Amino acid sequence: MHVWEVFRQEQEGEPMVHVGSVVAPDRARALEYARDIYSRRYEAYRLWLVPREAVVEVTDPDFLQPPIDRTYRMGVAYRVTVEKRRQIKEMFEKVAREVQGGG
Amino acid sequence: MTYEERVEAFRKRIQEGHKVEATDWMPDEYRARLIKFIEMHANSELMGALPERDWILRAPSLHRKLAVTAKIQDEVGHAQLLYRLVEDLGKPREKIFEDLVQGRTKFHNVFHYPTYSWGDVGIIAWLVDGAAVISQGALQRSSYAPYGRTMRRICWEEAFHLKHGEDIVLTAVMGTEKQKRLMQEALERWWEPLMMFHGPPTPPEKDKDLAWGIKTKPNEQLRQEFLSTYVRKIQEIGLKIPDPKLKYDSDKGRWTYTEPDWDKLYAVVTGNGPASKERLSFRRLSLEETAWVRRAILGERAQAA
Amino acid sequence: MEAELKSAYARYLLTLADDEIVIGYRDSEWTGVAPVIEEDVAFSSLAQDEIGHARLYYTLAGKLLGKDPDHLALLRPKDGYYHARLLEDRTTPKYDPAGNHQGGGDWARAIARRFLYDLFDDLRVEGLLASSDPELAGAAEKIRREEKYHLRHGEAWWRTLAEGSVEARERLEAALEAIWPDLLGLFEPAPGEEVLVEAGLIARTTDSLREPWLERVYPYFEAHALPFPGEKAGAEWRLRVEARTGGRQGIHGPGWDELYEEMTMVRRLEPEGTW
Repeated sequence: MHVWEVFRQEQEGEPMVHVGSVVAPDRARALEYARDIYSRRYEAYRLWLVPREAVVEVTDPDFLQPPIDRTYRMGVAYRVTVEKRRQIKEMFEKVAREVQGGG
Repeated sequence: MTYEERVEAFRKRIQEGHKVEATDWMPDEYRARLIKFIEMHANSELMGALPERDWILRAPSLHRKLAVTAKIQDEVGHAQLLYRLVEDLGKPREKIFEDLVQGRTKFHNVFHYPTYSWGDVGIIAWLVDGAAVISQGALQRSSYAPYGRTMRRICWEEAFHLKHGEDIVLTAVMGTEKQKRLMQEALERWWEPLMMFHGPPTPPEKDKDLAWGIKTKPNEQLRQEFLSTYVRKIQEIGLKIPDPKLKYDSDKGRWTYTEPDWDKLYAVVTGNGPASKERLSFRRLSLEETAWVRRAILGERAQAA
Repeated sequence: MEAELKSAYARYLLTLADDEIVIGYRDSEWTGVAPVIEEDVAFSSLAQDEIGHARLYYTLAGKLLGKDPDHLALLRPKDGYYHARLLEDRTTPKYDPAGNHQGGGDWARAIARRFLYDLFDDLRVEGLLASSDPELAGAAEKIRREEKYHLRHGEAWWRTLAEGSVEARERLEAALEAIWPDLLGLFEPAPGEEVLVEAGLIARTTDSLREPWLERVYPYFEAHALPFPGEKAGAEWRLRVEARTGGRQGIHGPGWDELYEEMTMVRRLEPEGTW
């Protein structure tokens, strides 16, 4: 018996999502079981079966979520642009007032 | 079913909004167009690393250095995502690079121009990437689903590029006259290429990539969206756009502007831009200098097999 | 902290930071020109890690010296950087806007340098984990958690270059031969390191890392029958190569002239400006 990991595409164009696994003696029956377990009600557009031993798993947190700051590469680190725009606008308004006042 | 009937059925499905996966049957013409379209996109990401690459070493603070390095890393990362699609469609990577350095395939017009200052780094990250995100946003709905999904990831990462670029520009505009001038001069250099970025206003009915649903919006519509998104943001911070004719025509509901010289665009993307030859010769040099490494990887793989 | 200790400590932190920033800058140049595009991305991550580490060290040094990290990174005089000379040479081709590009990109050298430097740095950072300065100890702990993947990357490439093809092996051997004097230059200590050891800020002086480093790198040569310029005589290593030093005193070569010019180019336009 082999374990097959099952991936399902629920709508055309969407990514394949892991939904579970099946145990089967061979490929033909693995396909059969996957259909009957994961798409009895038209849930799947497409199924992928991957032999479990082909899956390489990575969970090491230091590797995936390294400890030293990387926010410099995320949009959220640049919210400061909103404040900078406000300051620039204020600066221009001040200059405009001065010009008007002076004229 | 004959081949022609199959093609017709495929075309109809595309027009109804159905999506195609890498393993699905597809007409030869569709496959060829996909390869050409995605390969040019991928080449652009890769060649786009070169103009900015010079500024990795020159970034003026540690934060900028990290952000610029990460930004250009993303661009090459995008090239990787896109080249994988092209490889899955049947064109091997060695052939892709050979065609690129021989000038047989294209890359985007904006990457045929030189960079002169830190101003270019800000303007490219903010506005060139901004123009690209307008196109790429529309491509998320491409009929070729792997391409559409790749665009989702790319657009998400590009959001950082735009913000980071805008921050560079805003910071300089708030700085000294010298800093502000860097940005104004760069904007003047980049405006024409930016107006050409989305291509000539080809009538949608003549655009085969549109017909196949590979892309979803006509060129002129993308340019109009770009102008609607960015013109005000540029003007608001005191930068002057070098086009006296640029204005929003509220009667027609569209931007009018000085018509770019489309022959010039054609010349640029066919390898006659101001930096085309230099960039391609550099790409060729780096490929040649690292060919032995690729042979070693193959050698090791052969031993392992 | 008394003045002598403080000055030695600041100098040591700058040395750490300068090593990391210089190799980070040089490796970041592979973005866009690496042998396979996956490696462009991978090398860029390594480079960003190193710059991140440099930023931590500059921040610590900046607290002692009353300077901000950007000043320390980009606005010191050219002979005021204390990185090892090994790290300063360019290993990539160089783009020329007029098209007269400089070749000489050398992936073997980039890999050999990075891997053997990382093995050195690993020993050095290990000696900071128990520092009497909790901020340095904390930084070292985080840095180490990132560096272990650098070693993994280096090991894989070392094997590919040593075993992948005759050509690759020859290039690796040539690169190693060229960098040996500079590799040994890594162990040139910063002034005042003994004081730091006494104060418990660092566990070991830089020169004392030489023997453990040789012990650690030798098996990588032996495993692939790569030439090693020396042998162990009793408990001591006898090497046929002389160290090229000076880096820790601010004495550098043309690679540094080029890099310094580039890395400070924009900042010098408005040194005190906000960028």
